[in-house]
Amino acid sequence: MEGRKQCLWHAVDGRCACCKAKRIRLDVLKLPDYEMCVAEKDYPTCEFFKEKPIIPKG
Amino acid sequence: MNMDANTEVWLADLDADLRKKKDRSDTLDELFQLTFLGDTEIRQKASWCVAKMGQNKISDMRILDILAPLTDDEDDTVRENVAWGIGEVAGADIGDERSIDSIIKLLDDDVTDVKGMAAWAAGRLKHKLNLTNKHLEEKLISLSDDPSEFVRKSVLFALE
Repeated sequence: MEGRKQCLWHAVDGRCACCKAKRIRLDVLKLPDYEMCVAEKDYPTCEFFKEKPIIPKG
Repeated sequence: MNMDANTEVWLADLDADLRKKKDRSDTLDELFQLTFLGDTEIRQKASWCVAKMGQNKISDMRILDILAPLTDDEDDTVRENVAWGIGEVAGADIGDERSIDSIIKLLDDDVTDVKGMAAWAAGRLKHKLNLTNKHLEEKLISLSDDPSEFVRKSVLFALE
């Protein structure tokens, strides 16, 4: 779980764009702010983390 | 069928519409075809779109008609989408014995993500539709000490 840098689903405004993750965060994890993702807190344990691919420049 | 450019664009447009919560149930018949004619990537995307319609509360039995046969798909992302979609569409009052049969199978999945999502879906069937049975309850209880925290927490939700 360590070494997670940037999640593909993590929008610039802090929201999680993974529809599946949001449902689990709401129902299973009982998170009141389930739409928001805080990298330091949420990345290590998120089952839906997906490393954002690095697109080569040029 | 491999993902050609037209199919890729069509699925991407549909994905965008569904994220905006547009009713695109007009595409369900095409999606149905893609789930059995398409390659793995197509089936992943098509099953996601069908499940997303469930989340958008489209009350259409075809959602379950499409998802249920994908329970045995060889790809774990497709199977996870089946569990997710069955759980979501329960919120639109769609679910029957096929939902339970699929979820019982997916609770036996080798892949943790599929199993965890199936446990969550079992909870949705129970909480939204009062749909469960003894076999499903026993299966959930047997997963209470699963090595995965995700599975255990989802089971707790299902047994609430």
